Amino acid sequence: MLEIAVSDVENVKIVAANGRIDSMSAGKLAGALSGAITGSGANIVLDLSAVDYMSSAGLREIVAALKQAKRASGDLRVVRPSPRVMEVFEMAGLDTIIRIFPTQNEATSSYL
Amino acid sequence: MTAEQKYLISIVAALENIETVCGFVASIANKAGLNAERVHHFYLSTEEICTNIIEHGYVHPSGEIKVICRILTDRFMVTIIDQAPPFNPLQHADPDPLTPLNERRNGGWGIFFVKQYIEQITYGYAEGENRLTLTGWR
Repeated sequence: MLEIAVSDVENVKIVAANGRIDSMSAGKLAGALSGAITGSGANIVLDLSAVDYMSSAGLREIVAALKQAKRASGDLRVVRPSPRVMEVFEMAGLDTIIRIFPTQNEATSSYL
Repeated sequence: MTAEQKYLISIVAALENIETVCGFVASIANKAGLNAERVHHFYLSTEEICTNIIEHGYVHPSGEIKVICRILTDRFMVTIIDQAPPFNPLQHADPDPLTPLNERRNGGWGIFFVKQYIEQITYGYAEGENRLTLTGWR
């Protein structure tokens, strides 16, 4: 089960995920991220603090969205992945590519 | 007490059934006494393997995936069986975590994660079946 809420703070889109990101739900995340990027801008904050499980299906969509955001002169920055999600980031080396912040406020402020 | 306990589940190969089979594997891993972290590793590995079978193995949507869990004295084993064309995931080239973003494929990490998480992985193909066995020590 995955719930996603999208909100705006100035020119930043905040995509907050809650639940599990697996092969069944990853498409929902992809849709939310893609919709946020093609909207009014490409500065994305992806809040993963309430995600307790993520497989490679979720990672695939995050990498795709990060590329899409950068092509649109924006970025995708992540908030507080759980230890298990962070482990997936680290195994794939994504922690060296993506900017990770401890709070949503800090991630949002980094764009302003 | 018997030397081996064996549990079987069979699903239609469809993404909506993966959570069921992963939950099944996790429940038997718990029964085998694995700690929460290793139960998670088996759960995620089962998802990755089953997703690969569904997305890349079966060309028809009505294939089957069988999963056999075994608890032995010194180990916990999960064998994932499908009848898709032969595919040995152990021969799949590992992606490089140091690859820069603009040279990366978006996906391709599933089997790599399984290799990081599972202590022993064996593959065999016989009588029209792929059989991948994941083993962890108890």
